Amino acid sequence: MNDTVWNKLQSIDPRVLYVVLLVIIAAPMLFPGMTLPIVPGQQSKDAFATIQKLGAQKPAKLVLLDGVWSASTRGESAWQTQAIMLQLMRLRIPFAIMSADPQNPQLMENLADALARKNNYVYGRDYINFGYQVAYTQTLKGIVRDIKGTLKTDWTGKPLAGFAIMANVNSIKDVGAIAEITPSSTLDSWLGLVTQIYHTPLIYVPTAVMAPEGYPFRDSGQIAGIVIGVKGAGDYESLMGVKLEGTQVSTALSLVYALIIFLVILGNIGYHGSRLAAKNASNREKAI
Amino acid sequence: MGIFHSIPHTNWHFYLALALTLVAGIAMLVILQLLPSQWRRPMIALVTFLGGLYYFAEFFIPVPHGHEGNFLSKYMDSVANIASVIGSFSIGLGIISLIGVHFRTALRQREGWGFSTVLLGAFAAMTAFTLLNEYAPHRTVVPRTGALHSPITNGDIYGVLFNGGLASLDSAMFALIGFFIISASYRAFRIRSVEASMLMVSAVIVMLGQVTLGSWLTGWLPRTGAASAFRFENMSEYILVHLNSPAQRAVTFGLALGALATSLRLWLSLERGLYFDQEQ
Amino acid sequence: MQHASDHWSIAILVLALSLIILFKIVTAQRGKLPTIRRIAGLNAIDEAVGRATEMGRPILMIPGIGGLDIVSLQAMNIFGHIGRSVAKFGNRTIMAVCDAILVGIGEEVVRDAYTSAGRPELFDSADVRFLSDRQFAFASGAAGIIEREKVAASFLMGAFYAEALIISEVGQRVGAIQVAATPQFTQLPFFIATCDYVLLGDEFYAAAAYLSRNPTLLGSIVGQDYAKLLILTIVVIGTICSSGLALLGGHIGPLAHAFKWYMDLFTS
Repeated sequence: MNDTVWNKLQSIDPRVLYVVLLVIIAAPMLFPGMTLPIVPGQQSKDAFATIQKLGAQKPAKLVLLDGVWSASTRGESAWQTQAIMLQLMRLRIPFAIMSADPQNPQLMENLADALARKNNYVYGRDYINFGYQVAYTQTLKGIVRDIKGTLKTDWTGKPLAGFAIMANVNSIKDVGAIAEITPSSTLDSWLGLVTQIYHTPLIYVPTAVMAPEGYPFRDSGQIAGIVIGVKGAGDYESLMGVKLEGTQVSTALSLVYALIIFLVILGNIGYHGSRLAAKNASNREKAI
Repeated sequence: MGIFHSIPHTNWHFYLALALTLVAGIAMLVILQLLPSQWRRPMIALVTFLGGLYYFAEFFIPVPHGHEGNFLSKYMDSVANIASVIGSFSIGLGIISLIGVHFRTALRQREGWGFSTVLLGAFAAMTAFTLLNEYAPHRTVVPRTGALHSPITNGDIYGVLFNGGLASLDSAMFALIGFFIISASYRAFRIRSVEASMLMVSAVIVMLGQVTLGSWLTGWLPRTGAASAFRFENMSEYILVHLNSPAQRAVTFGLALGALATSLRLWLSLERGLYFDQEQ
Repeated sequence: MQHASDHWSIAILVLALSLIILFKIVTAQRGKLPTIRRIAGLNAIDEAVGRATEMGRPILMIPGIGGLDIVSLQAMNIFGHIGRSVAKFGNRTIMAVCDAILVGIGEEVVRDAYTSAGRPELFDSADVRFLSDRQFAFASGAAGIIEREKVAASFLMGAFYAEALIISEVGQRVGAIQVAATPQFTQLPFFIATCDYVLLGDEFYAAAAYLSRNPTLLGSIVGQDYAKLLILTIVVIGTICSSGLALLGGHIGPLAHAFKWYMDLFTS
């Protein structure tokens, strides 16, 4: 075969690749029936089971959702957050939102309000939003011993003591589990400063690229489960028997991964083909 | 020690404390300026040491039984607030730098002045409407007319700028990563050695194990028993837990020790060349 | 663990590691200079800077998107050395920072670099720019600088997250030589795919020692290696104890107690 074919296989115009990618991402969005069956991973199952166990206790302890994500990673983090909130609401577990990003309180509140309307959850009684915390490390240190004293108000400025949900919540001992929904390296802070003191179960909810950071801690039992990226959201939805955005986007993600693998194989075929062609040409010249 | 407790800002104590702090700050600046240059290095070293000493002491001083902290713990918030205040000053510095660069570019119509003009306009609009949304969110900007069914308020414009502008652009930039990873992986991942082949195979297994496609491809294998080990999600889990995690732990130890060493050098002012005069 | 008294054994371990590092720094300062192995990415700095000068295009330095912390300060330390190399060649340096507090430090670093090379007139404070403290606004600004200025070499050192690929891919497109170093190992694959040289793991912290050959820094690197040996010893003994406990099953005896005591020293 002509070696220029091999070179062409290695040098497809990136714009062509981008158009193909766009079509592949758009297809499951435009055709919602186009979904692949989801088999939940063990990490997601562990996280799910942790919350289920909490829900079996009556009254259930508060769950703290710490959001570090902003609008940039909402493609993954929003669906993860939605899935976890839905599980909490179905089990009637009260939860609190705390944010380490200025955009996050509004984003989490939007998700919580939308689900609350469908699940008869009331702000102040069933869920609360502590808002954006500026001094993150100090806040984590403070909430271990005194949540109301450290955070003082909700995100609208009303004193926490005035909310029914906070009646029996004083320190981290009164928190049943923590879900850390993050695109950054914030896990170490929680593990070092908060969860190891009273062994509060911590569920790590990272974007897919940050997930490997959680595996050593899961292996050592320091975190209760990992909800990995949008696939984790899809796993959660599958475990709850619903099909929401997490499921849809999981399918798009699968197709994108398949495209990446295909292109890498294509590029390598071109590379090795051109090397072989060059070697054969060189052998022919030597023979002559 | 009363100065480390919060002073309510509703009485004259607050204003007196503010005035005294300003005077003390200016006095300290004047003293620092008048200091002979050979005293500056020891002064910086002393302040650095004292700053780190608080955290060191607060961590190592034993906590009395039944207490949540030692005698230094209650000042933690105040000390942390100092860092926040310094950070707040630096925001102004950054904004001055940013505006200055782009203002000069726009004014002199240098290359790219259009972008600088857009930046300045967006900065002004976002600042104005964020403040207006905070203090007068319901004030009408555009009254109801025939075409408009309801008046446009400050809050509405802020919503468009924040949700429609800032949040959407943030998401768009993140989405670019997907496109770039396609072109980068297609261009860069070539199997040139045995190690590269092993890397590629494990990468493919982990990738497929992380998405529903992998579960679907090996879904026909039983979920329990020896054969289940060949399901993509199980192979991926094995690689991540038994191969990747130990390597990651090793790197984490190395990085943590590097950070410890750097922290010690900075705290004890053992670093040279960066903040001090030329190395001797 | 909020205080040493929560777990004294861990606190003592940290003190021991610190003392090891300080001891090796002191011995290095007293003349016992260690040698450290070649790091390819750092050897490429002069090559990158020279190439940029020949092409008449500037050099870009980005200390990551962290704030005023150890990682950013270490990055600035490395940039000080790179800046001196750039200044020697009389080329232009652009530094883009994500935290406003680093503007002042960056200006000092670059100004000192040009001053020490005898070229203070080449320093322009407008070339040390605060772009934004928002991750993707910063990425967009940095990508814009790379495209418009057509940088010939870019040094990406510090804390990077998702914006790493955006910045490095744009640099790759304009044909810049790129050297990257980050303690965030989740971003290393992206840098490896797009950059010419990548410093892995704690090579980032060794870089300043490698470039300067300063006794304090060299001693610090050796101290870290001895500290790693101590941790390795603790891990190996822990593995033996843990395996021993598993082998002994539920049998309680002095050996099991000893194994358990050791394990409890290092677990919370």
